Formats: sequence, structure tokens, C-alpha cells
Amino acid sequence: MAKLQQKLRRETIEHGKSSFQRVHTMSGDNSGFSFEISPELIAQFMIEALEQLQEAETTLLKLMERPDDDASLQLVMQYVHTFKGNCGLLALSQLQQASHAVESLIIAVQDGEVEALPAVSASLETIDSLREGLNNFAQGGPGEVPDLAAVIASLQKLHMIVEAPAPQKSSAASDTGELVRACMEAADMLRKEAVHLSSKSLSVIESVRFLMESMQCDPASHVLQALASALTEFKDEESRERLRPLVVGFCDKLDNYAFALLEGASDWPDAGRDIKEIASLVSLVIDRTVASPSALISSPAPSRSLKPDNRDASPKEMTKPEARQETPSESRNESKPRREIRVDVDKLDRLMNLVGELLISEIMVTHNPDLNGLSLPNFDRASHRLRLITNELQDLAMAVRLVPISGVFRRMTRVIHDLKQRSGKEMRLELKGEETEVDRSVIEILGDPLMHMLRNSADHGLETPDERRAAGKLEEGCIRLSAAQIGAEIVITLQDDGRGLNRQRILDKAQKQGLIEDDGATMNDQDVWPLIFSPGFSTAETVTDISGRGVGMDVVRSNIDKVKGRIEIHSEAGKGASFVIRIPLSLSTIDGMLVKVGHVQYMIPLLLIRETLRPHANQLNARHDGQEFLRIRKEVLPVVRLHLCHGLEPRTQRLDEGIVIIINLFRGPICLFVDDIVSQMQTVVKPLAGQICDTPGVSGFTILSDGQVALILDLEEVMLLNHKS
Amino acid sequence: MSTAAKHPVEEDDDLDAQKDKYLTFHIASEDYGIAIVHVTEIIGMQRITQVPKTPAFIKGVINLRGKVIPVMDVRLRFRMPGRDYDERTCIIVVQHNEATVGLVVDTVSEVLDIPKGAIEVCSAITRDQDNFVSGMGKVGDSIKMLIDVHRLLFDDTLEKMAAGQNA
Repeated sequence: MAKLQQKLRRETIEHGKSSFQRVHTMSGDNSGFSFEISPELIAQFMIEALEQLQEAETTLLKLMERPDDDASLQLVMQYVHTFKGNCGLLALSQLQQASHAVESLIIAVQDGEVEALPAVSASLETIDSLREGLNNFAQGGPGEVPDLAAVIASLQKLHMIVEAPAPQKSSAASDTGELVRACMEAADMLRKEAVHLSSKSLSVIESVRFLMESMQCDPASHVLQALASALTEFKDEESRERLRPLVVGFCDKLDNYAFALLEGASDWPDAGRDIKEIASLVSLVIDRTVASPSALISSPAPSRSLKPDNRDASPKEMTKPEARQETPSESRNESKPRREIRVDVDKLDRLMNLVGELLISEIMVTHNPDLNGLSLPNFDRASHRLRLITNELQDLAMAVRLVPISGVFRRMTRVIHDLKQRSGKEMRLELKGEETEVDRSVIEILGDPLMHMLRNSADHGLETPDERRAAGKLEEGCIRLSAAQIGAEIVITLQDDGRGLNRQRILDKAQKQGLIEDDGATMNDQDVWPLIFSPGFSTAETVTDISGRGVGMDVVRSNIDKVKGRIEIHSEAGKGASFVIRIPLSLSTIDGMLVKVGHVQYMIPLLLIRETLRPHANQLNARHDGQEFLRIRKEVLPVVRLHLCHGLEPRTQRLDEGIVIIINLFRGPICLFVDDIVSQMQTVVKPLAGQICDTPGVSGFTILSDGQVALILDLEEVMLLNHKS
Repeated sequence: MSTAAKHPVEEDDDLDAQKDKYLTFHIASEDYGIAIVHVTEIIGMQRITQVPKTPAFIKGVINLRGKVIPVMDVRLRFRMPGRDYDERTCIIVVQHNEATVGLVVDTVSEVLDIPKGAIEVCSAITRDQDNFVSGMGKVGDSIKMLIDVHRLLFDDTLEKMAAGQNA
């Protein structure tokens, strides 16, 4: 081995010259390696830093449940460490100090010097402070952490070792130039080998590893070690094939590292993340290929390899699947390989717009009136193909905007954690369907309502432990939050096993506020529950700092309206309540029915339509005040004349000569009276540029196949108009 | 779709070239000017989709190559009597504060250089709530009334009128 090492090094030096030339030309082209702090860099930093904090927080919360989970401790370590490193890059010393203190504390926990729970709790609080520091930086401040001294003191209080071991630093090789050459060379060798990975490649990887080790470049040698053991595990061509991108990726990192060295950096860039990324990808490949589904290398192994003294431990870990405590599914979740790039949302919006225009143009071409009456079999075939492609393109453009809902859900775990501490109730949150994907714009709007609803469920829904015991329930309340895609809708359900909504109290309150005229005794539950969404409505007897101010549910409804969603409430006294939110998958396209009133064409979202019919005169009644009703089967539904709401001249005033569309609205079904139904279609929603014709009851526009514009109806708003008129 | 398509605005960096330049148009017997920086294009008359519950001077919306923009009849905005559209009627597409609006005018004339020195700013006496003219540009013997685009598009009275219409 020693011989090989020497040979390698000799070769390295021989090749050094050419490698250097490449370094120079490439670094000349590529300004990415200069450490100028550009706005893009800051934006990137903010995104990453927030993510790292989020991940750290999630893991810490997990630790609150299972404080003895070493793997999670390691993960927290990694996130905080990477965060610290990034802060260092931008010289945010306060953030660096605070995160360093967290890191030291976690190390102390790992070494068994400090008890886990209080340390985790303190770390969680520090995460909040770090966030504030980041916000301060984002707003142009110096990244000040509020009460930095106090934060650090509270962390250090927990362990007596004031100065924790300094974070690892790959010891600078005596000669940077030599290290650079070694890296370039290693990358070259690996690249060649990557073309055809076989069991023979192992020796090359091993020799490169020795090279890196001799250069005291520890992080790289650990990655190589991981790669080597992975390769030993991979017996078949297919799984080796999967390993190849990792090897190539590592080569790129080696190159980058070499460039960074030339720029004067001495640390392996983002060591923790790189290793974790590679290892988790490796673990997934192994998961898939090895019969026993245990993760061979999951998160803890690579992170341990960050510490030089544990170097020997990692190969053992990797070859002993039974050493893993984590269940396979858990580790798979954590190591989901997402090869992704960050894209400016504006670009995505533009893409979506263009695809929308393409769709419209396609219809304008294929349904061109000039073609009427012509028999064009070839044209039809071609246009059919075009249609298939544009449809697929549209689906893809929409899919690009989708993000998993897990981000929002994880925030809820934190909410529950805080609620538990403040309310003194026992509760747990069960999450399901975190991987469900939702349009980005929907996610942004969904966070607040879910939080309000969760608070409400925890605060008003769940009983105190004593009450629960008396009712024969488990002391620990359970809140289930789940998401699923059903058809073109995303369905989010929030369910608690608490006391349920209090019908009487809601009615009393509603009467007091003048929302209902009588005591509501005859109202059915489905009409009663929505009352809680009225502005300023709160039935809680005591206003706690968690909820009860009656602003929450109001926000919930307005935000869900914003994403064109609906909300249903089910409740059973003593058993609990559930809230079901249904939102359309995308806000940028709409499945709708095109109707006509006078010479205006309206689009009505298909999701809301229950049925359409032409009423008979004997089904109609009018109240003394002019409000008309339609009797259909056993229901009596109010009629809303769209032409009156919008001041139009209809084709006919007679209900039995027009069309009635039964629409499910938030407060129950209504009958919308229109002239005619034109067609049913999927189209792209166009917002109006500027607020100049902001018409109540119109939420947007859409362009029809003949290039004409149709108005998209916002029926909740139409109802408001109807009440006014 | 667009008959007399012109693209006075190509790039941001020729802002200098656009300085002091005004697109002049004709309404009734007067000439008006609009700073060329606001103008994106000039298109012929389109089929306008009426939008209910908007002020009378908002004629509706049009489909501008896949973008839906509102169209304002400048005559009606000026509280002048309306006039049937003919083949010389044009829509000037202007952009201001993220809003894109089409302005219906009787005819479009030409692009003129009106240096600052030749503009007489309206005095307080002639400036009232409904006045959308910010200055008088002197070109030879004639006067071009220069439009304050912001007031034309966003003036408060617009909202008040809109509210009045809705009530």
C-alpha cells in the first residue's frame, strides 16, 4: 500500500503542471469561487440557513420524544455546524457564537456529560434566537442575536465545560499546492474509473483514499471510505450504475475544493452536508438493492466520520446492517434523494404563463373557424399530437410548482410542542401524508390557517387531563393532521379527539352577535358550525394567550377563500371535531363551466357545481320580499339572479326559460340563474394586470378558444352582492 | 391581431433616448401628449369584453396576446361625450406601476420631442381634482396637453366614481 501511495504521489506531481493550467483557466472563467458577497449569495445563504434551522428544529423536536437517539443528536450537530460555517462565511459573528454554543452543548450531551432533555429544550429556544438574528441580517442588520450573552449563558449553564473542543478543521496540508494537485489528480482518476465501475474500481478508490488521507484531507477520505464500502456491497451492475453519479459528484467536489484552496480557503466546503448527502444517497441505493432493507449507511455513520478519531468506526457501521436502530422506513424518509435546483419563482410563473398562452394558441389554431367544414385527416392527426404534447407540458409546468406539504406540517409539530408547554395539557400530533404535493402559492397561504386551527383544537377542543380521565379517554389528547390528493383537490383534515364543538354555546354567541335571528334550535348542525368562522367570533370563556380572541377562525376562512378552497366541519359532542379543507390542486388552471348572461360569459369552477337544470314553474316560489326559492326534491334553495347582481340585461327574466345551476357554497347550496350554458372546459386563469377593473364577484379572467375573454365568477362574493341588492 | 403595432419601448437602457419624447394623440379638437416611457404599444380596436360593475369609462377587458388588460375610454374618462369607434380609433397600451391599461383615443398622431423648457406646468388655479393634464407643451404654434398618467389611471376620483356606480 505504501508503495502505491508513493507511486500515486509521484504521478500526481508529474501531472501537476497540466492540472494547474486547468485550474487557472477554469477559475478564470468561473467567478463562482470568488468570495465576494453578492445579493445572490446572501439570498442563497438565507434560504439555506433557514432550512438548516428548520431541520435542526425538527430533529430537536424528535429528540424531545426520544432523547436517547444518538442519530438525531448527530443530525442536529450537522445542521448547526453547517449553519455556523455558513454564518462564518458571511462574518456573522453573533450567529456564529450562538450556534457554536449549541454545538458545544450537543457535543456534551453526546459525551454523556449533560442530560439530553434540558439541553434539547434550551437548544430549541436558541434556534428561535438564531432565527431572529437571521431576520435581523435579512433586514440589512448585522445579524444581531437578541440577548446574545443571555442565550449563550443559558446554554453554557447546562454544562460546565465552557470551551468546547474546537470544531474540526481539516488540518491544513503543509503545502497547499501539493494538496491541490492531489485533489485534481484524485478527481481525474476517479472520473476515469467512474465510466466503468466494477469491483476492480475498489482498488482505485482505496488508493485515492490513501492519497487524500496522506494529505490529511479527512472529510474527503471519509467520503471515499463510504464510497468504497458501498461498492463492496454492490454486487450487480445495476446498483453500481446508481453509484456512478455519486462518484462523479464527488469528483466535482474535489475539483471545487481544489479551486477553493487556490482562493485561500482551507476547509473542505460544507463537509458535513456533502458527506451526509453522499451517504444518504448511498444508503438509499443499498436500501433498494440489498435484500435486507436496513440502511447500511444512514445519517449517523457519515457524520461520525466527521470526527477524525471515529474513523475506524465507520466501516464497521457500514458493513453491519444490524447495528442500525432506525426502522428502514424512517431512514428512507430522511435520506430521500432529491436532486434539485433552486429556481426563481418568477421564472416558474413566467413558464406557467407561457404554457397557458401556448394552450390558448393551440386551441385557436386547431379550432380555427377557417377550418370549419373541411375534412383534414392529416391536420387532425397532427393537431391531436400537438394537443397531447401541450397537455403534458401543462401538467409538467404545474408539477414544477408543486412542493410537498411537509414544510407546513413540520411547523405544526413545533406549534404543538409550544402549546404543550404552555397549556399543560397532554397531547400529541399525528401527521399523515406529509409528502402530498401542493402548489407553492397555496402552501404560503395555508400555514397560518392551519396554525390557527391547530391552536383552536388544542386549546378549545382537547380537554384537560382530568376531564379526559373522567370521560374515559386517554389522558393524552390526539390531534391528527393529514393531507391527501383526491382527484383535482387536495384534502387536508385536522381531527381531534376532544370534546367537540359546543352547539349551544355557538348558537348563544351567534344570537348575541346578531348573526342569527332566533335561538337557532331548528338549525341543523351543518348550518351551525360555519358560524364559528364569522369575524370576531369566539366561544371560549377565557381568552388565553394561545387562542380565544376570535380572530383565528376568521383568518382561516379568508385564507382558504383566497386559495379557492372549501372547509367542512364535522363534530360530535364528547368525541371530537374534524375540519376538512378542500383546495384545488392548482390556482393557475380551472375546470369550469362556461355560462352566458346577456352578452357576458362567465366561468364557474366545476368543483362547486352540484347540478344544472331548467326549473319548472311549479317548482318556484317567491317570498313576500321578492326572494325566490326553488324546490328541488326535498330541498328549498334560494335563487340568485346573476343578472341582477351584475346589472346585466338577460335573455330572459323567466326562471323557467333559463338555466339554474346549483352551487355548493360555504353557507350551503344556492341556485344561480343564468341564460344558457355554453360549454365545459379547462382553461388558464389570467389575473388582471392592475386593480383597475376590480369587479366584485369576479376573481379573474380566462381566454376562450376564439380569443375572447370570459370572467371567472367568485360566487362567495356574488352572494354578498346579492344580499346588498 | 394588432394592426398598427409599434414598439417605441424596446429596452430599459434607452431610457435616455425616450426622455422628453411624447406620443401625441387626438381627442375631440385637442392634441394630447403622453410620455413615451409609459407607452408599450399601439394597437387597433379590438373586441372588448364588457365587465359589469365598473365605471363607465372602463370599457371592459381585451386579450392582448394572452394577457388580459382593462381598457379605458379616455373621452369618457375626461367626461366628454362618447363617440362611436371607427377605423382610426386606437388603443394605446400604457404601463405604469405594474398596471397595464389600454387607452382608447380618437387617433394617434406622432412622437414629438418636447424639451422641459417648452413645457408650461399647470398652475394651481387650473389644476382641480378632475384634471389629468400636468403641463402644456408648446410645439411651434400649437399646444399639446401632457397627460399625468398616474392620475389618469389611479386618481382617487376613479374609486369614488366606481363606488358611486356600484351603489
